[in-house]
Amino acid sequence: MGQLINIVLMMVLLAVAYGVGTIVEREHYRKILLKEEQYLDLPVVTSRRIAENDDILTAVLVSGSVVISLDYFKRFLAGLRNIVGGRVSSYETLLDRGRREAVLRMKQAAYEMGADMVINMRFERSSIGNVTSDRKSQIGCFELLAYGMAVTLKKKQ
Amino acid sequence: MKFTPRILSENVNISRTSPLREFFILLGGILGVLVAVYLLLGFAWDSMVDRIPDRIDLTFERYFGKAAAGKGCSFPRAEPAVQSLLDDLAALQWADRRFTVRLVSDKEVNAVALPGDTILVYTGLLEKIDSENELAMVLAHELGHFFRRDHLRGLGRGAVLVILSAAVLGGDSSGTDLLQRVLLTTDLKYSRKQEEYADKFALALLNKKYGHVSGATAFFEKASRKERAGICSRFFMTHPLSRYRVEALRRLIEEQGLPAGKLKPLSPEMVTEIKGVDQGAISRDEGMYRSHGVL
Repeated sequence: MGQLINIVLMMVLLAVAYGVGTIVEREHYRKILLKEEQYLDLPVVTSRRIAENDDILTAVLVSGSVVISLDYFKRFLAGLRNIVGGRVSSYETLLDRGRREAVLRMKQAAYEMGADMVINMRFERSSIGNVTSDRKSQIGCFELLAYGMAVTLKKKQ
Repeated sequence: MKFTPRILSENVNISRTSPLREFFILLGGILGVLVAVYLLLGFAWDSMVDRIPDRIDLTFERYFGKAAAGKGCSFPRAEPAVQSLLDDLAALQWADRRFTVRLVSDKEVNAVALPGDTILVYTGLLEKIDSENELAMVLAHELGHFFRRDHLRGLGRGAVLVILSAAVLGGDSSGTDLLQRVLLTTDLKYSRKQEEYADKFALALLNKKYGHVSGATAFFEKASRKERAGICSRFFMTHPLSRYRVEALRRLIEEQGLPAGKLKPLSPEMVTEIKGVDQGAISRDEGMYRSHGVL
């Protein structure tokens, strides 16, 4: 009987997590698209040098980080995938959002200091807060960090 | 180098599958495979049990039997009487197999077959019995389970389920623990089919002993009357309704044209010791064995 209650509880949690998670994700993507459009003119490149190196006036380190957590439904789906193997598509959207959000925050920092572009951008990821369920620890939170060099260039005539 | 800002038309980093669809497909697929494996292994185990020669007596069965039979005898006159009835019945089917019967003082109306060729009969059941034929029917039903090794079948299937659960959920998960406790004891339930076979076997044996089958349905009729009066959920869990068993038995008797005859009364040793005995509460481990009795 107790086991049955556990299963029903899990089903309810999955349904709630799926519902809420979908709404949250959609909202987040909407905001991301808006911001991306806003900062479209600020280039971010991963090259370590740019052709006009001597045109650099100021260079400042900028970074943008975001911490994102999985919802229960996504975690459960990933658990099933762990048995069968293959693409864990439930994690893909999460990491995608995280990356784009981190880059946007970095861009925002660069923009506020009047930078013309960000060079030498790199990504870092770390997991925070292991979530333990059923004695197996599963990673629930990610911190995504995007950092680079915000440079202001000599204005061309 | 010219920089042209552009927004990507679609997101290349995500998969187009709907998570809900994926959820149901994965869950359904995995559960389906588990069920298939369980059925297959259960079927294989069943066929293997069918092929165990009659003469083989498994060691662990003997161990169980010794554990159960090791209790002192509280009915020094009734028990040997029942034992001799059992021996007569067993001799009609097996040349050299010996079963043991123990009487247990409890108001529960049931008889239980344990691994190790041991039968426990509760005095509650004996109180309700009015003729030797009825008692013989009950004992013969238990012998039917032994004949088909029904307790082994249940044990094997249970082990398969526990192994599967340990593989998927993990050896120390609460699900595996629960399954282990429920399935790997001798707290076994027999399927309806197994009960049918045991009844059929008992009917034939009864006929062999007495030359007629009167008294075969009497006990179950009494039980079905009690069931209508008060719904005991316990009863429902462990056996098909007695009413259906009575009908099935009557149908069998008619099909095979089995004769009726005079009922033999219980021997006096059984009557004096059993009727009116004080039936206290049952002990813990006997309670564990209850659910696969005659009822």
